[in-house]
Amino acid sequence: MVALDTTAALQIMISQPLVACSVTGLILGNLPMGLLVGIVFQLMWLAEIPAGATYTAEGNIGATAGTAIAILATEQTLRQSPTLALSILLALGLSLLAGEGVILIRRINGSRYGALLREEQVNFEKVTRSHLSGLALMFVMGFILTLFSSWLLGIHLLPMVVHRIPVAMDIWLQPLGSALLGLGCGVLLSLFYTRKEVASLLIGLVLGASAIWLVAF
Amino acid sequence: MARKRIQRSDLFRILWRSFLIQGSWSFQGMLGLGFCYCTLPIARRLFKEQEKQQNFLQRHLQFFNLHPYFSSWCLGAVARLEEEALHKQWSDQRPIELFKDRLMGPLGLIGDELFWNGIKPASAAMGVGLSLLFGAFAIPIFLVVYNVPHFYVRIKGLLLSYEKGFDIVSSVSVRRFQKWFSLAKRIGLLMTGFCVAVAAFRSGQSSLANGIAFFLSIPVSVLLMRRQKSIAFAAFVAIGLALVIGIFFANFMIVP
Repeated sequence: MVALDTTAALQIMISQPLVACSVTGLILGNLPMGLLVGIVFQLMWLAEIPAGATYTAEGNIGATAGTAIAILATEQTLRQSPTLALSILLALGLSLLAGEGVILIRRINGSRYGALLREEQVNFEKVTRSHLSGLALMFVMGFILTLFSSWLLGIHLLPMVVHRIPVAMDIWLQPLGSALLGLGCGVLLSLFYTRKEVASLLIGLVLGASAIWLVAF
Repeated sequence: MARKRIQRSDLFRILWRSFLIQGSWSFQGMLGLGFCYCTLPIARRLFKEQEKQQNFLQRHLQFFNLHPYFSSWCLGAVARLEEEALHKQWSDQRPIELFKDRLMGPLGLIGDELFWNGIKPASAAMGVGLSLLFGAFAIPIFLVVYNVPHFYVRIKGLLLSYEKGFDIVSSVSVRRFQKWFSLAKRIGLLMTGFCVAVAAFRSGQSSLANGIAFFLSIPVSVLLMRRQKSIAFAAFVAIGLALVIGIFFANFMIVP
C-alpha cells in the first residue's frame, strides 16, 4: 500500500512515514518506536518532490521497512539505540534501492505503453490490462522489498551485528534521531523561508513555545 | 438537452479512476496510458461502434503529463468536449488534443507549487510538531488537514471543468492561483516555526548531545539544500555529525 500510495495510486498520504511507520509499529506491537521512526523520516524526505520524470528515492518504502526492521530486531537485541541507529541507516539504503525499483517499473511500463501504441487494434480491455499491470507491479515490488528486508535484516542480520557492538557505544548513537530531525527542520526552512515572511516563522516559534508550555508544564 | 449523455455515475467513475492515473507512469508517455484508462467511462457511454472507440482510444493514448490531483480538471473538460464533438458532429477532433496540450503546463505547475511545495510540507510540519506533543493522535489530524484541499481540488475540478469545457482555461491561469501559493507558503513557514520550537524542546529535553545535534543539523541541512545536494547525502552528513557529537558529548548526557 505504501508503494502504491507514494507514486502510483490514491496519494492520500497514508504512505507518509508519519502514518505508515506508526501503522507498522501498531501492527508489530511497538507503536512508540514506529512513531519515532516516522517522525525522524517524515520531514527529511519532503526535499524530494515527485514531479514529472525526476528521480526520487522511495523514502516512504525505506522508512516503513526500516520501522519493521527496528521493531523486529529490538525484540531480540533489547538495545534500542544501536538497533534504531542501524535501522535508520538501512532504511536510507532501502529507500535508494526502492527508487531504482521504481525506475525499473517505469521502464517496463514504457515498453508496454510502446507496444500498445504500435497495436493496430486497441480496445478497452487492453488499455485496462496494461494500466492495472503497472499498479500490480508496483504493489509486488513494495511488498517483496518490505517483507524480504524485514525478514532478512530485522530477524537475522541486524541482531547479529548489534550483538557485536560494545554496549559502551550505545550512548554515542543516541543523537542520531535528533540530528535527522534537525535535518528535516532544515529542509522545511529551505523550502519556506524568505526574509519577507520572517514574521510567520516567529509567530510559529511562539505558537510552538506556547504549546510546549501548555502541554509540558 | 441532447448534450447530456454523460451521467453523474460516469463522472463518479472518472473521479475514482483519476486516483489511479499514475499507475502506469512511464518515461515515454508519462500519464498517457493512465489518462486513457480514466477516460474509458466516457468512451463506453458515447461510442458504441468499434471504429469510433478505436479512434477515441488512439486520441487519448498519446503523451500526457500533469499533476495527478489536477488530472480531474482535464478529464472533466475532455468528457464535455467529446460529448459536444459527438453532438455537433465535429469533422476534426484535433482541438481536443490541442486543448489537452495547453492544459498540461499550467496544471502541472499549479499542482506542484500548491501541493508538493506548499500544502504537503506545511501539513507534514504540523503533523510532526503535533506528534511530538500528543503522540499518534496527531496522525488523523495530519491526514484530514492534507486531504480536505486534496479532495476538494479533485472533485471541484471535475465538476467545474465538465461544466465549462473549453472555458476551464480561464480558471487555470497561474496568476489566479498566486494568492493560494502565497497563503500555503505563509502557513508552511508558520508550521515550520511551530515544528522547530517543539522539536528543539524535545531534543534538548532528552540530552545535551541531542540538543546540539538538532541545532547543528539545521544550518548544515540548509547549506546542503542550497548547494542542491541530495537528501540522502545530507542524511549521511547528519549521521556523521551525530556520531561525532555522540562521542564528544557522551559524558554530558542526561540519563532519563
